[in-house]
Amino acid sequence: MSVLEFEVRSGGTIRIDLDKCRACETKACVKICNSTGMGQILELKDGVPALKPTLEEVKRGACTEDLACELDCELYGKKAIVITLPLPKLDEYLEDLTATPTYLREA
Amino acid sequence: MARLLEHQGKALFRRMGIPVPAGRVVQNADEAIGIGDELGFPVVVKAQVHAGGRGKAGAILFAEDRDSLARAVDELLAKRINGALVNELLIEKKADVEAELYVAVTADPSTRQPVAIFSLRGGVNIEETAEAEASAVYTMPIDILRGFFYYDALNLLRRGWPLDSRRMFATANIYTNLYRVYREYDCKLAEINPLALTADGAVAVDARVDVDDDALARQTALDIEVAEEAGERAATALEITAGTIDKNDHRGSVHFVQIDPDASYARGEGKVPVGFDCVGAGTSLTTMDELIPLGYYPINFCDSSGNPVGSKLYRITKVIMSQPQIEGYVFVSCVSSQQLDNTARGIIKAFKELYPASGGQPNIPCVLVFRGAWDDVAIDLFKQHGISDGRWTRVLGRDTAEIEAAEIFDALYKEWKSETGGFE
Amino acid sequence: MAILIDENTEVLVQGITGREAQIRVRLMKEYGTKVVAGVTPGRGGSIVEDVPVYNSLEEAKERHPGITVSSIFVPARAAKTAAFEAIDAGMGVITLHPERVPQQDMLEVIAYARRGSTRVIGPNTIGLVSPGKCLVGMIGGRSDLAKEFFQPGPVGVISRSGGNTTTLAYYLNRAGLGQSTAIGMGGDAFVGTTLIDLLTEFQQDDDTEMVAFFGEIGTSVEEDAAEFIKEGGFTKPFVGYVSGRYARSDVRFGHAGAIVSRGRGTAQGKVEALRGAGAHMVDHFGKIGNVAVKVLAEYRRSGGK
Repeated sequence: MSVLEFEVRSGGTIRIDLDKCRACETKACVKICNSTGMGQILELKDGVPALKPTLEEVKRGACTEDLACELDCELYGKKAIVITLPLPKLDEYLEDLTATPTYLREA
Repeated sequence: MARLLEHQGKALFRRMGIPVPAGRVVQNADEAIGIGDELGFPVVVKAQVHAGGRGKAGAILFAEDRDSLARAVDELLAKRINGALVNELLIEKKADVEAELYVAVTADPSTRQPVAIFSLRGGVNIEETAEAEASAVYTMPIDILRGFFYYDALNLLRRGWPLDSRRMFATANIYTNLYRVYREYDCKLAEINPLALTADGAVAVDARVDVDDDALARQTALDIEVAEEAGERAATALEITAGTIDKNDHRGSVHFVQIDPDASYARGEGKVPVGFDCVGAGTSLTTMDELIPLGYYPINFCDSSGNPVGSKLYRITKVIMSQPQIEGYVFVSCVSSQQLDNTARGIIKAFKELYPASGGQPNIPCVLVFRGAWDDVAIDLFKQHGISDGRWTRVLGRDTAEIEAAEIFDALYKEWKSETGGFE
Repeated sequence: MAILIDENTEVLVQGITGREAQIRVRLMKEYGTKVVAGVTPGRGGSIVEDVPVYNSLEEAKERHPGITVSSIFVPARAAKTAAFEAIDAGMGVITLHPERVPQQDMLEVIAYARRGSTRVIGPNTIGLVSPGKCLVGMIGGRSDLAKEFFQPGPVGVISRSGGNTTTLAYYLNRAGLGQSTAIGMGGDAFVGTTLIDLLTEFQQDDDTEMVAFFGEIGTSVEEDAAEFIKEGGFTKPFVGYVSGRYARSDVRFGHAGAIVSRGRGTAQGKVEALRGAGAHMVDHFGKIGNVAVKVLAEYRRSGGK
């Protein structure tokens, strides 16, 4: 299985399952990443997305974390991208919480 | 605001030559008795908390001997003063007070200059005095480029001074030293209330020193760690969580405050607690102005500025939605240059994660208003992802004013409540 | 005409080599502002966005004697020195953009500016724009948006909130009213140019027929301006909104704060004071455009009395 995985500045990772990308006709992630005002870090190489800057540059902030690759891939691609953005303190908070957040309840 | 504890303020006073009563900070009765013996009775026991009005809140007790001192210490350590736990007490020799003065230096928002304030009638009722009898409080504007000299202080004091001139001169010196505290430590307020006149001279019985947060970086002589914690209340766990979002990433900011952390104020007022996010602090205010009279109370304040990246909006949306009391969510942007498409992406990703079963459609009433740069793209994204179709979601655009957003939310909440019965 | 800046204004940028400043220089130039020089000590001789950089304002003024406005993008801790330098160089207007400038630094800047004739706008200001003529600062964010959000017209716009400067202009545009000049006063409690100062400028400007204002809780700028209007300092129509009616403020600045504020600072008090001075205060921010249209029509019908 081939995977493109890289870290982003805020602390988190973007993981692209390139096996799925090969069958993708739209390459929506590359398209949106290169529009005006976006990070413009992805390019097509050998038919799959690749990084233009180095991993280090991406981590320093070349990736603008607009989340567009993941969302557009979900709609128009092969659901190949997972962006993980941890917030450890929130997990701790939720663990200590005695009440249930409304999104886990039924209205 | 970095508000110093009384004993911290008094340490600065001492450094600048302002007399303060002999005393020491203690944490238990044993320590206190040692200090009491050393100082000699009677002593005063003062809870070291940031809350104002300590005298009226019972945070200050007197002790004649060892027994009453031990009782006073135990009583105060078991107490909450205006919600704050008491960890430290200041034990001081009780001053034999002949008269209580009020002296302060702060900045006057009208003249936009520092101002020296003086009254012969210091003590806990100074605000009432100032209101009922303005002529009992004297003020003098200070030219900050020139300074505040002893004769300025004398000229201010003599307006109301009935006492002998030697004492007036000593008080004037204290006043100029108080101005030095104000300037040296970048204070927003340096206040002595009361400045007690005793047989041995004048002594600062209390100290209120508020240091400007924006100047803390250069106030290396202060214990910064203490100063930063010295707000009116400690940060909540969720606020600390939100604070980590901006910590290592300065691409825009999301500022989150819980104005009603357990929604008790909202409920007490008969209002429905809602989660809240705005672009621009001014828009938070204008939107609250419209929501509250309709019966909804935003229990948090959240203001994004400087065009934050999408991941920040994702994380802060999860923080806002994790407040268990909320029965709705309102997002409004000012007509801004923030890249609203990325704001939308952050919110959409959060919604999808929180509501996986419905594909990101919330189970509580949500109104989102996008106005400004790329607002059309933002609205379109919610449509493409099927979130706008949610039974309880309304995504609106540029033509929506704050009042309309609030009215739409009101109607939506009422439908939600009658159809689902809410969370009861 | 307009106030403070127009199509002939030559602008200098202090701290021009900073990241933020470079973005804003691009915005200003694209909008059409004449940014003729920049200053960063130690970076004299370099070029930023085609703008020559000098080591000091004195040096820049020798080469570009027409400069009257300085837009300051330096870190907060350097704001006071930068403002003093601009005042000493005889600038007519300076805009202080940094946030979190220490309060006493600002008190010194205000006191120093009082000795001369420099208008200090800010700190923590988004800037100002005379639509179609000149833009200084970061207002509008992008030049195409600034052109869209601010239209030339008869209303002077003053806002205590940066974001709501644009929102207010947007509400006016939607009702068909453009702006002569729109200014974000700066969000801090102590700013160099108050509402009274700006009303004085708009009073003297023939192209400004009325003023629209966005206010907030805290300080006494609205109450002071109400007195000023009552005394006849500003005679044109004034429409406004003051936000924060329901904000619970737990932060108190001790007894001294209560004494100097003398009960001023609440949204209700501000609205009452301004209404008492004849201002048209709206109950909903979103209605300000339509109210402004009616008030202006009435004013014109009565022959500007």
